[in-house]
Amino acid sequence: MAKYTTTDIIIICFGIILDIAIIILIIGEAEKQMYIFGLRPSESTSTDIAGLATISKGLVGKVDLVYRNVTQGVFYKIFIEDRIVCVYAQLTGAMNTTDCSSAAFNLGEDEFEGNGFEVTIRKDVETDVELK
Amino acid sequence: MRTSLTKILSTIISYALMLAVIFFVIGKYLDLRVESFSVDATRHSTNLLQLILTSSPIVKEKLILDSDKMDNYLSGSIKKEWEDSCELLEYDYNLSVYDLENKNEWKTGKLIFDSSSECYFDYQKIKTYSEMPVSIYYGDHTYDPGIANLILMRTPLSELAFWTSQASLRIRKGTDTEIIKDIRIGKEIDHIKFTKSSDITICMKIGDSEICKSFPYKSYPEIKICPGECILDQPCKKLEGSVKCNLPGNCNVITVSANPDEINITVPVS
Repeated sequence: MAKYTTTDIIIICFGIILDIAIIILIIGEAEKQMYIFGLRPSESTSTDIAGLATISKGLVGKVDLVYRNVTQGVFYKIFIEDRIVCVYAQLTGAMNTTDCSSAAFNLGEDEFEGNGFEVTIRKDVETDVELK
Repeated sequence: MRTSLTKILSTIISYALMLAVIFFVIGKYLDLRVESFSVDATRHSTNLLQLILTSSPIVKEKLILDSDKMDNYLSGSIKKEWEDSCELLEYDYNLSVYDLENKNEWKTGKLIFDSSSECYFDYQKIKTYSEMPVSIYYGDHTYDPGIANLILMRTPLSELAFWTSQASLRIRKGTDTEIIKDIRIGKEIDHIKFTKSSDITICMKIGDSEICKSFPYKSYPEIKICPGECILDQPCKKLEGSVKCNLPGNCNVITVSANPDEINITVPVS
């Protein structure tokens, strides 16, 4: 069995703590970078909703598309006006982001908010697309 | 066996060097913003082409395009009816429909910018392509096979219209108290015109071509056009009617800055 001196054990412990600290810092930095440069819930949600609204207009007959998000720990505020869909996302204890995306036609006006949300994109045979 | 201090230290240093190499490689070759914008643009181009081929003014039936309607809508300037139902604010696109049998072609679009210009960021140079097979109807029950192609990208015009429009909404809804966005404008653009009526229309002129983009606008915050670095002593001017700004002949930056009172668009003026 290997024999370690107290100094060796201190150095090993220090090395392990240092590596863990570096890994935590890297994960934190990567998460921050993702938020700054676009891979964030507000961005993907606004693109999802605007994209689904655009695609639903071209579908045949009556359409009800339900977009549901129940991510834990994220507060969402969604507001829609004319062609623009904006999403504000707030992570508990972390940063807030707002991103917008546009649909190809007027979506009217609406607002939703909460920790989870559900948007129904409805298109009747003769009427335009509406979001509920 | 006893682990020597040298071995422990060399292990720690090796870890640190490995992480440094990973950071260097990721930082140099992976731009998350470009990746993210590319994914979004691809989704938008597919959705938009599907919409155009199934529910736009040129459609006879789903995926069957009427040649007379294409003559009307895909030739000459873009019509308001088209803009109202087939335009995205954050992107501009070129649409072409090609008849594989008669070799007829219809084209429309706004991608007249120099996409290779060093004035633009990498994410502004991303082009996404979508293609779908269609039938082209010529009347008298004559149908030809064809192909529809859409090329979509972010342009200075779409960026300026999109940011001005979303700044207004975000400020009014209270999610932001201040927004500042710099938009790079290439040297190929001669002048910019802002027109306020029931909508805001932004037009950019390149040589003999002028392309425009409109978006609805609520009465507040007020939009002001501010002369840039060349005429610092002039105040910002409330946008009423039409305002035309000639741009200096190099890479320019237009700044959209919004607060609850006003949206200032600062344009460098020659």
